[in-house]
Amino acid sequence: MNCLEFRRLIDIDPVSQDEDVILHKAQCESCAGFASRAARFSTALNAAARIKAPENLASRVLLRQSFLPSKSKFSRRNVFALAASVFVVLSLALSAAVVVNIQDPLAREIFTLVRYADYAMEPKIPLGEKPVAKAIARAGLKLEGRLDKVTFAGNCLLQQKIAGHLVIQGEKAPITVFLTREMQIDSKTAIRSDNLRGIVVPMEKGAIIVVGAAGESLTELVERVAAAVRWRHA
Amino acid sequence: MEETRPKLGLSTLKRSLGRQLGMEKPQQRFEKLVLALSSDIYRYAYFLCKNQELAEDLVQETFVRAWRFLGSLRDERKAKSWLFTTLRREFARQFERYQPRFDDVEPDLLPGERSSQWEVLVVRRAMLGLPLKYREPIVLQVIGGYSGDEIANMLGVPRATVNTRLFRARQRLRKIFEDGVSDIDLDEIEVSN
Repeated sequence: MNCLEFRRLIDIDPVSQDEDVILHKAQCESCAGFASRAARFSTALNAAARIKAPENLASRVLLRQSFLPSKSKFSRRNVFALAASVFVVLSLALSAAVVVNIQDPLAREIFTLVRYADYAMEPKIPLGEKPVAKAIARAGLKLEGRLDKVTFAGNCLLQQKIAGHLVIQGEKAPITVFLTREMQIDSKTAIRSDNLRGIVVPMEKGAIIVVGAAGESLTELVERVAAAVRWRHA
Repeated sequence: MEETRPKLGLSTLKRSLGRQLGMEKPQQRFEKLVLALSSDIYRYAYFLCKNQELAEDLVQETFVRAWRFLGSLRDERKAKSWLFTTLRREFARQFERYQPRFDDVEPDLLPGERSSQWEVLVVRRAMLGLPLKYREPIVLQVIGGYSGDEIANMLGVPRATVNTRLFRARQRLRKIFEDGVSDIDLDEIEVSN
């Protein structure tokens, strides 16, 4: 292998493990210098390509998927419903970016999830126990008591972990509840955005997060949820 | 004393067999794919379309298709290239319908990079400035970690063509990185095959 061939190969594949490439590099000081400069450039190139993906991207993908039919065939109605929900989600995403001004990353993630999941607020008919228990079980918890007025039960990703996502009808408006076994919170924390209030309450393992409109009895709801869910479910 | 055996129902057997064969429920498989690969899929999308909103749309569409056809993915090790190919097709399909506007605002850098922020920004702008036929192979190489043969397979072009494009793209980017030279005509760079 001559120097020209070596440099050409390095420019095509800088991490080439070709024996001839390794041998030439060991024998030719000039080409070793070239490879060293190429390695420095490759470091910058790798860093340039590693752009930061949007916050909650995985959550939003899973959120959307949770509304897709599990069967492989899509009906026309489903496609229209999907398109409509995507439109609403994107519109809300844009508006949320303007109004939410939360510095704390966890609070920002919580409020963003609530705003994205507008569809979860729409159902008004209370669900039976089964879907609620299923959603909670997927978060590693167990429903043991009765939870009334749950109109949505699903899952989402909170801090990259599967959480239970419930919507419970409050006195004024729907209240969102997230249940997670994975989050470690030191103490009860109040969070707020311009039009939403929330509390993050540590449990034995994990947390209950409740978000609703100002004036709702969030603490009372936390107590109801805590009493109905077993937190040490393996 | 009579020995009692645990009852083995069909569902228990299926679960056991599924675990042994490394099979999971579709939902679990899908979640793993999303968690493991959504960032890289987004990066690829961004370097294809150069627009953050469109990139996210492409990622969403890609995963919608992935969910629909998850059953056709037999080997998890091929998941990334499967998703990259799906995204590439989706991008081509959307591009046929309209020409997206390109971003002026650049995505954030990830912290902890070894190169200086300035160098990284210079290289990123240079990457985004490459024509698609040069940009795509180098993005597949850097983000996807694919070999020349794999890139050739994904792009449906001969390996020699991929080599030429990688060589020219890297030459140009390296010139910009090292010397700040940006007025190189890529098609004029000689490649000795």
